[in-house]
Amino acid sequence: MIPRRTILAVFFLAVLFWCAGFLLLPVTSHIGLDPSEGYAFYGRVCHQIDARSWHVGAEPFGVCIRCSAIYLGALVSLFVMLLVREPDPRVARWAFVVTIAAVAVDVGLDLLGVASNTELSRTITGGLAGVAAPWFVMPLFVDAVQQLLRKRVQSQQGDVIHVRETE
Amino acid sequence: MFEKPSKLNPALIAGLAIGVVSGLPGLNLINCCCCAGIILGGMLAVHLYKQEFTGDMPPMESSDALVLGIMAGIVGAVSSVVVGGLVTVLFGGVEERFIMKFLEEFFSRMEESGGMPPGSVDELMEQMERSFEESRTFGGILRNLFFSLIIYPIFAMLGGLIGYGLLVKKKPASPSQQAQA
Repeated sequence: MIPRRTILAVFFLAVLFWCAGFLLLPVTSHIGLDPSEGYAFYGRVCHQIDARSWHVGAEPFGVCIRCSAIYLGALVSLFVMLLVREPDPRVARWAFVVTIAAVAVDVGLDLLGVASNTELSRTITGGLAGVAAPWFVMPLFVDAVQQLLRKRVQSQQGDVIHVRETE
Repeated sequence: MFEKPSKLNPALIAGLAIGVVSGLPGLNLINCCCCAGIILGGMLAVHLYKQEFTGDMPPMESSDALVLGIMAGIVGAVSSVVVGGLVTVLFGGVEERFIMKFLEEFFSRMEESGGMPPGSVDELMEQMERSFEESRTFGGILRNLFFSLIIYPIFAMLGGLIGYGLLVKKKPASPSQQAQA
């Protein structure tokens, strides 16, 4: 069975790659690359409004402030998860629900015109949701991957036994 | 003990829901919030799959949710391109103008209330126009499908796991199941 830490490390690298993608987009034009395909790719998951994005020079990141905060928060959490044990699943679940609700309230009040959200509110709510999400989702992901691998091994062993019996 | 139900139907239904949400202009703005529409689609797949379980079946596992999410994401990626293409073919410029007018009014109201910085409405409308133009070309459709086939299964898988964590009550495994494991 693949250990929990290995699965987490692979997922951490995938998220690191994802984050590097949207963080490095502003500098790609400086090294002679066309960033338009990269922006189009991240445009599938984010509105990319210039005024709601962090910038490097005049160029925005591939995703907006809230999305950047979510992904970077998740990256930090995944790194910490590699070093420490998982907390009580009920705590992780409640933290996830509360932080997602905070994002929903921040977005909802803005959409309804009750209170405009700010760069700070988007960063904090997004960052907290990003930090909380892996503690809730990753144990399920690790469990799921281990189950799938176990089933695969069992089915391969079943095939070997079946072949030996028929021989 | 019976086997678990087939994942095909829930994955197809949830995938089509993802396709409709992501393929219809205007409605697809929900995906601007970290692919919320796709994540909800993954959760829907798990909810539908959960309904098919009876007492004499082995309990649903997180691996089922993971696989369901990926399946729904793949179906969603393909169906969103199909729905988007159909909308363009059937309604063409009429639908485009309607959506643009609706969004312009909506975003202008947000700009007036201070919800959006001045000038960002024009920028957003330009982006929308560009995406409408691109989506009409064959290359645009292929690129759309390629990006969708990468992104949708990942986010729908996360949605499936979130749905499993929130919606499915974990039953302790029976002695016979433990022996099987």
